[in-house]
Amino acid sequence: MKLLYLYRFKPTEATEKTKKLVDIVSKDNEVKEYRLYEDNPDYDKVVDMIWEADKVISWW
Amino acid sequence: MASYKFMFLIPNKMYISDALRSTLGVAVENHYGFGAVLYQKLPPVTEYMKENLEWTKDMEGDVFCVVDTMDEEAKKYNVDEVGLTPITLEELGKQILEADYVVAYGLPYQSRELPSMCADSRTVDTAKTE
Repeated sequence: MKLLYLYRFKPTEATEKTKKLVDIVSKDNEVKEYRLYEDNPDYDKVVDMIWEADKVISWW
Repeated sequence: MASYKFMFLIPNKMYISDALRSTLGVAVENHYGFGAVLYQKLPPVTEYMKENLEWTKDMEGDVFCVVDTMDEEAKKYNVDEVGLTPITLEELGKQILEADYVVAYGLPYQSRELPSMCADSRTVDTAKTE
């Protein structure tokens, strides 16, 4: 399955459990990530990536 | 009309009540509504929230308590007193992969203004939300 992960905020140490969940969900799947918190996100590219993905998850 | 499975991930205590309402909302629209509370002890449960939980279960949905993300007190309250269904991170991972739509509910608003093509282009006071 093609998964797209969107990150709106930079992961911190407090998100360690979330990281574990991300690893569980990622197992045996094709994963792409996009970090929206970095400067000048390319939203056109995000839309293309969403269309290409089977499932989109916004992590925190 | 097709029925889809929605999984609401709820990491933020402030939005638990709203998220449970949304879980029920998709259920009453003939979808399968599931919620997963992470990290947090639920706020004191009102009759209204109890009814929402019961109704969600009646509609073949459920609300999970992700037990390995919270302390014993929160786990005991959420599972024993409120009646959430206990689930591990591993099991939640499987549920997420089975869901058609995964919604991370109630994250803080983003600090960046959205591009103009987005319908919701409000400007946010980040000092209040972060």
